Amino acid sequence: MKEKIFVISFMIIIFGAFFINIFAPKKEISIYERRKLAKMPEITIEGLINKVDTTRIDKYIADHFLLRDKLRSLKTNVEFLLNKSDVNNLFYYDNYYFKYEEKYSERQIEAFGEKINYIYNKYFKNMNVYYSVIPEKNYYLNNTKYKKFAYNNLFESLDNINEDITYIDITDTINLDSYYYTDHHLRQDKLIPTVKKMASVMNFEFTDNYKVDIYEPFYGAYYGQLPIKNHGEKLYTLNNDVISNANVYNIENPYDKIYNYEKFGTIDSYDIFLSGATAYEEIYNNTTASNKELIIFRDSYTSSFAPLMLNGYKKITLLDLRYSNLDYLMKMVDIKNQDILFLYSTSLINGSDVLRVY
Amino acid sequence: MVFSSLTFIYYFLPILLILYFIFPTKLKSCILISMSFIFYFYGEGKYILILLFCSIFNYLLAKKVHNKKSILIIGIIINLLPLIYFKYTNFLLDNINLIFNTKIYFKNLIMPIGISFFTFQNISYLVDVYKNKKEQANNLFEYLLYITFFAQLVAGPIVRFTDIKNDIQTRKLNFANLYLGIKRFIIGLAKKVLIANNIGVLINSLNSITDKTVLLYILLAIAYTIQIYFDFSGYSDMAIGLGKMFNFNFMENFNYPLSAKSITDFWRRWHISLSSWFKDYIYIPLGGNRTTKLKWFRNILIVWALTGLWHGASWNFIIWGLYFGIILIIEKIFLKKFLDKSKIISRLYTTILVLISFIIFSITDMNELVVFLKSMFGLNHLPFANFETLYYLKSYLILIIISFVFAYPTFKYIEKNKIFKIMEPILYLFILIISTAYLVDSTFNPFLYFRF
Repeated sequence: MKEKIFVISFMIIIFGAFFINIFAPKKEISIYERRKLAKMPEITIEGLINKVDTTRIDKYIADHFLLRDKLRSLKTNVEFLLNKSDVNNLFYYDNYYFKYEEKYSERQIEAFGEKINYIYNKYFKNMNVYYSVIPEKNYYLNNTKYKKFAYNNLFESLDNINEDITYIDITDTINLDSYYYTDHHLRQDKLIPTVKKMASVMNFEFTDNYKVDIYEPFYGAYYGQLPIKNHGEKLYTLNNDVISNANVYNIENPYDKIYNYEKFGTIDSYDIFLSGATAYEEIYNNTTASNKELIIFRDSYTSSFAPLMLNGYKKITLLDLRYSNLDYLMKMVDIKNQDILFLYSTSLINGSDVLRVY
Repeated sequence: MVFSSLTFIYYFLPILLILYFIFPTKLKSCILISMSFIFYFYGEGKYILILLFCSIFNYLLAKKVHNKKSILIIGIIINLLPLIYFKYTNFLLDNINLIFNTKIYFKNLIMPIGISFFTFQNISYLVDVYKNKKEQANNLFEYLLYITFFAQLVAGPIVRFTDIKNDIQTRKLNFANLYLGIKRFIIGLAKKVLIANNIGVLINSLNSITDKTVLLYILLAIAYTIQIYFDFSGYSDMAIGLGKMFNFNFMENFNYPLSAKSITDFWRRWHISLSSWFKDYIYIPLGGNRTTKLKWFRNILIVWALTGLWHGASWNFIIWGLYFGIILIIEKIFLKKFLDKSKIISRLYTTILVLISFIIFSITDMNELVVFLKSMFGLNHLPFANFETLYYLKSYLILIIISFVFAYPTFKYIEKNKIFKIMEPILYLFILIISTAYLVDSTFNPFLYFRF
C-alpha cells in the first residue's frame, strides 16, 4: 500500500507539473527578479544539433516553471537552514538584504582617480569641482560574521585625485537606516542631512521643506535575488514646489517630470526617479531666479540625490559615462561657470572600467 | 539531456511514461529505444550517428566473431577508433609536439557524450560473444536497447549484455519496481543537486580567494572528494533507479567507498562496473596474478595506467591511475596485513590517500598540483587559516557533515528505523521538491563524469 501511495504521489507531481507547465499562461516579465523571462525559441534542426535551442529550451522551462517564485524561496530558506552565510553572495541581516561587493580591485580604484583627473584637466580646470563617494550598504553593517570589503583602503586609494577637486565626505551623514531593505539604493527621505552637507561645502541654497510620498509594494534589486520574504517595502519620494514645477530633458525618454510614477511596478521601480539612469539628462528649476548651474557625473544613486539639489540651481545636467563616451556627452554641454560634482558609489569605483572616459 | 534537469524530470520522463503505458508490450522496447535516441540527441545532437553506427556495426560484427580472434581484434580496434580520435588525438599531438619540438595542431574536438561508456559496452559484448555464442542478442532491437538505453547510456554503469539479457527481453511495469526505482532516482538526484552542485559552489569560492591558507587547501581537498563522489554516485543511483523503473537491474556501481579500510577495499567499492570491466577484459587476459611476481605487478600497473587514461586525456589522470596501481602493489606486498589490524588507522590511511588522489584527479596542471600538495601539508609557509577560509568553513560545515554522514553506511541504519519507514514516502517526495527548487534556481550543471 505504501508503495502504491508513493508511486502515485510521484506520478501526480511529475504529471501535474508537466501539464500545468504546458497549459498555464506564461508571463513575460518577473517583477520579483526584475528581468524579462525567457521566450520559447523557434526550434530548428541546426539549433538542436548545435545545442543552442536545447539550452534555450532548458532556460525557458526553468523560467516558467510552476510556482517558480515559491520554489526559489524554498531553496533560499533551505540554504540558510544549512547555516550558509550567504546565498549567491547575498545575505539577510536585521531585515536588510546585502550583497557582497565584487572582489577589491586596486587597479580599477586607481583608474577611477585617474579618470576623474583626466576629465578635470580636459574640461573643468579652475572651476568649482567636487567629488563625493556613496558607500554601499555593507559599509554600515556592523557584524563580524560577514566578510568586510576593504572600504578604508578604497577611500585611501582615492588620494590620487587632484587636490583641486574638493572631497565631500558624506559617510557620517548616512547610516544603515538610510538604505532600502531590499535594494542597494538610498531612501530619498533619508538624504536630507547628506544634501545639507553638500550644500554647505558647495555653497548652494538648501531646503528641508518637503512632503513625503509613499509608494508600495516596492521590490528592490536584491528582493528577487534572495527570495526569503513575500512582501515588498515602501518607496519614498520627496516633493515640493521646486520639484513638481521642474522639467526634465531626457535624451532617451520623452517624459519631462522628475518623478515618473508610471515606472512604479515595472521591472525596476526605482526608475520612478528621473525615469532611470540615462546617458544625458537636464533638470530645469522653473521657480528660481538664480543662474547657478551644476553638472553631475553620476551613477544610479544620483537619481534620488539630484532632485534635492535642485533648490540651489537653475539647471542640473546629469552625465552617465556608463552609457556614453565622455567627449560625445561633453559636446552637448556648454561649459560656463557651473559647479561640477563627481558623485559615485563605492561599487562603481571598484568597477570603474565601465566608465567610458578615454 | 541530464537526469538532474527540469527538462528530464518534468517533460521527458512523463512523456516516456505515457508512451510506455499506451503502447502494447511488443512495442515497449521500440519506445525505449526511440526515446533513448531523443534523449541523446537533445544532449549531443551532432554525434547521434556515431552512436547508431557503432551499435549497428558491433551487432553485425558480433554475428561473425565467435571463436575468430582476427575478427575480434579488428572489431576492438574499430570500436576504439572513435574513442581515440575524439578523446586522445589532441593529447597525443601535444606530447609529440613536446618531444619532437614540432607544432602539429588539430581542431579542437568536442567529445561525444558517453563515448567511453558505450565503447566499453560494445567491446565487452564482442569479447563475450567471441567466447560464447549464447551471449548474443536475438535481434538488433535487443542490442540497440542494450547500448542506447538512456538510463545507462551517457555515464554508466558499464553494463554487460549477459547481465541484463533477461531484463531486455521482459518488458513490464510494476509498482514494486517503480517504488524502488523512484526512491533510488530521488536519492541520486539529491546527491547531485543538493550536495555535489553546492560543494561545487564552495570549490569555486575557495579557488577565487587570493590569500591562500593551509586550511583552504585541506578544505578544497575534502570538497573535491565530496563533489566527485556525490556527483558520480548520484548519477549512478539515478541510472540504477531509472533502470529499475523500467525493469532493468543494473549492477551496483558504488558501495560507500569512502568508508573503505584500504585502497584495495576502496577500489572494490568505487566505480565497480569499470574496475570489473578492466579486471575481466584487460587484467585477466594479461595473466592477472597467476604469473611471476614481476609480471603480476606489470599487469597491475598497465591496468591502472589505462584506468587513469580512461578518465581523461591528460597526464594527471595517468598519474592518478599509476598512483593507485603503486599503492595497490604495496598493499599486496605487505601493507594490507598491517592495515587489517586497526580499523582506525586503516580508515585514516585510506581517507588521506583518497583525498590526495582526488587532488591529482582534479588538477590538470602539474605545477599547480605540486603547489597544492605542498601547501596542504603546510610546506609552503602559508598561515593556517584566515577570516575568509573560516567564513567558508562555517558556511559549509553542516553540508560537509551531512555529506560524510551519507558517504558512510550510516544511511543503512537510518533506513531500518521504524519512524523513518513510516515517514519515508513523504521524506522522499519532499527531497524531490527541494531538489526541484534548486534546479529552478540554478544554471546548467553537467555531470563531471560526462567528460569521460
